[in-house]
Amino acid sequence: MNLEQLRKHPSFPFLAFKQNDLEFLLLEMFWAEFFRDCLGKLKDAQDWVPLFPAERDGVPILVVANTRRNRAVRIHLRSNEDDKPLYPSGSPEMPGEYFLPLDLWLDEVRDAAGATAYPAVVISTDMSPSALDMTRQVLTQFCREDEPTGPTQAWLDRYYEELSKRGYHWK
Amino acid sequence: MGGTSRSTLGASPITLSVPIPALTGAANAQTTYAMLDNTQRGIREAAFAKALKWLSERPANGGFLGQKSFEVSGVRGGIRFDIDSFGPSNNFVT
Repeated sequence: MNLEQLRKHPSFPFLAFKQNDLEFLLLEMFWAEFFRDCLGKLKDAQDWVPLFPAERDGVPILVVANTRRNRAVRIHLRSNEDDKPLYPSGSPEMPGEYFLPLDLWLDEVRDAAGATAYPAVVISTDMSPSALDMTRQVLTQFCREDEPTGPTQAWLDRYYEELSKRGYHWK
Repeated sequence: MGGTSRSTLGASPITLSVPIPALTGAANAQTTYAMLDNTQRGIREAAFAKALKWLSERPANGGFLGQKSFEVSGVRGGIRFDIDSFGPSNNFVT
């Protein structure tokens, strides 16, 4: 199935993946196709290889690396299971009180032997259209820039500044 | 432990010639947690508890290689408790 077919699937966005094996499988396929779609050209996608399988709780749902370009990407899924209010303005540090659909950080991702450490971005996102749109922006930039960490940090700083001013307001 | 940059804080990694027991992993996690001040511990309390629960629920043969994050929900900044596992065999055997 391609990305469009997955988006049109009656179970999309596969929120029951923790209980439902089929939805989990479809979610894995969605993230592989989503990532491939962010890269654009087929030849760009060929350099990326999976490092680890998806975990059943969606953390991570995708881990891929590109040796030639010395970088990696890890995606975590999050969901608002308790229907908490969205993260408000003012940058409160109150664990468990609010829901933030998207957070991300720069990190190192290692291969299974632990021998190779790739500069990486870790994106923790829910499946909402706004968070997926921003995830696409970050992934596209991170995968295409020659030196990706600076622009990604700048993107992150702008995101946090906006969060601080207005809370999570994207729809 | 980590935030949005690549700087992290943690106990020295465990290196063994056999798969690492889950209890050894949990002891290492406790060492990392003890390195934090009270404020840092407070915000990560629930994430740390989830990490210990996850370690305690590993199958008998271990079954994990890779990097696992237990995120602090509802805050920004990549605040989390990480457990990393590498090597020729699955770690955290019980």
